[in-house]
Amino acid sequence: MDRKDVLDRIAPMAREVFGKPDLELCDTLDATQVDTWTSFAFMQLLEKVEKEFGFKFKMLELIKIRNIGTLVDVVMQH
Amino acid sequence: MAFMEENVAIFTYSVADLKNWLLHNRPVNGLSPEIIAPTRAFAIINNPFVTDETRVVCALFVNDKLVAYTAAFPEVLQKPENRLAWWFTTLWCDEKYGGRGFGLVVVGTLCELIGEGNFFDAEGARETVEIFRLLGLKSTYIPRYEFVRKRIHTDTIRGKIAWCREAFSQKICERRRKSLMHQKGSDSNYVVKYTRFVDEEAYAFIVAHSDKDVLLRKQEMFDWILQYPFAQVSPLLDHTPFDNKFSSTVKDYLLVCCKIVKDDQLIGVAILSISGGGMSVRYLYYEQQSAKTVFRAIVDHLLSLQIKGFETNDAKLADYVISLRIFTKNYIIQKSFSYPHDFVFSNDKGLQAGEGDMFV
Repeated sequence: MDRKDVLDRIAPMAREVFGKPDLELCDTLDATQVDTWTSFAFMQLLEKVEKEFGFKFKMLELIKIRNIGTLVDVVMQH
Repeated sequence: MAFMEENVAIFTYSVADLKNWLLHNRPVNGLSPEIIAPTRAFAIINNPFVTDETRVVCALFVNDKLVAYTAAFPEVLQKPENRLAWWFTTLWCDEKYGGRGFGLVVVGTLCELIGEGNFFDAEGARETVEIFRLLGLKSTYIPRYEFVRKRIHTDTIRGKIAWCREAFSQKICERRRKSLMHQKGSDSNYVVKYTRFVDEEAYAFIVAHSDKDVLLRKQEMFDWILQYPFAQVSPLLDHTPFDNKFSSTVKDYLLVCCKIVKDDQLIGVAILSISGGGMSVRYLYYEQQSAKTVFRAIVDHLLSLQIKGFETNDAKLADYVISLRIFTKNYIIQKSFSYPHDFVFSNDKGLQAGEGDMFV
């Protein structure tokens, strides 16, 4: 599983929870660039990622996630 | 795009930490009134179910700046018998870090320490309910009946018409209030005894009249709530500096237990909170056949105190207040209740308004 695979699998989930069908995902994309990236939407994204990749985030891992790139990093560590 | 390095630190604080900080003035890993108001910290230190080792607060710092915190307190319930329940109280996240899931991190960290299956939450915001869902809790919604006397202020024509209508119905309410105060019927034949604790007689009555409740607190928990309210009273509030984000400083606050007696028989026990011109029935237990007298005692209270806003979880009391037409508006607000998966919640039972956090 390389970074691109992970990003490709996260992209449709992110587009759905943020309600942006045309959202282009890149490593630096964060809450400041997407107006619908709220705490609520982000938690829904985390839940979808957990289901898609079959693991549970640890609390200390969540602290590291500040954008799509760091989310991909954490997923790849599992 | 390069990011600034983030130095993230998460701390949990025990009751011993709260004592060191609050009672001995010793610095403890950034613990401050911003994280927990001294009144609230003092109450948690005195909770009957904590020890010095109990961890009750969690805070997250980014580059030494506070960005999120939460707190919880434990209790052992009377019903379900001897069930441990942790209630969340306070959750704050810095808006600048919105969308990072820091609320989930602090609540989740405290939950991991508490142990799965022991945490509950009442009256959580939408985000809080979502956090608890992700942490494995179920949620339901309990109706709360709210009454207000208010006027609409607006400059539009429709607004002026609405204002006139409001003013008119308020006048009628005032007249009803005045006539009700002088109207003494068989329901007015009662005596109210006030206490700042729940005595043996009152608690025995509560136990015997709580069959419609899904939860029941122990006597020492009621006493803790009455003796250590989370609100600090500051009559000169406008001049009081706020040093904590989650404020528990109010201009006036009274939390009192009322024993309602008729013909030397206890017919009802109510715990009322009164603040800012509003009254909330936090707990209410009564004999069904004397319900009208108990309701009348509560209504007499709110009339004599010129109460502008009123709330209760009791549907029958709400119907009684509606029938008197002493408030211009009433609403039903759905309040969340989140609970562990193994906890049985049946829809034919209710929840008292005071369950969980006890602030106004």
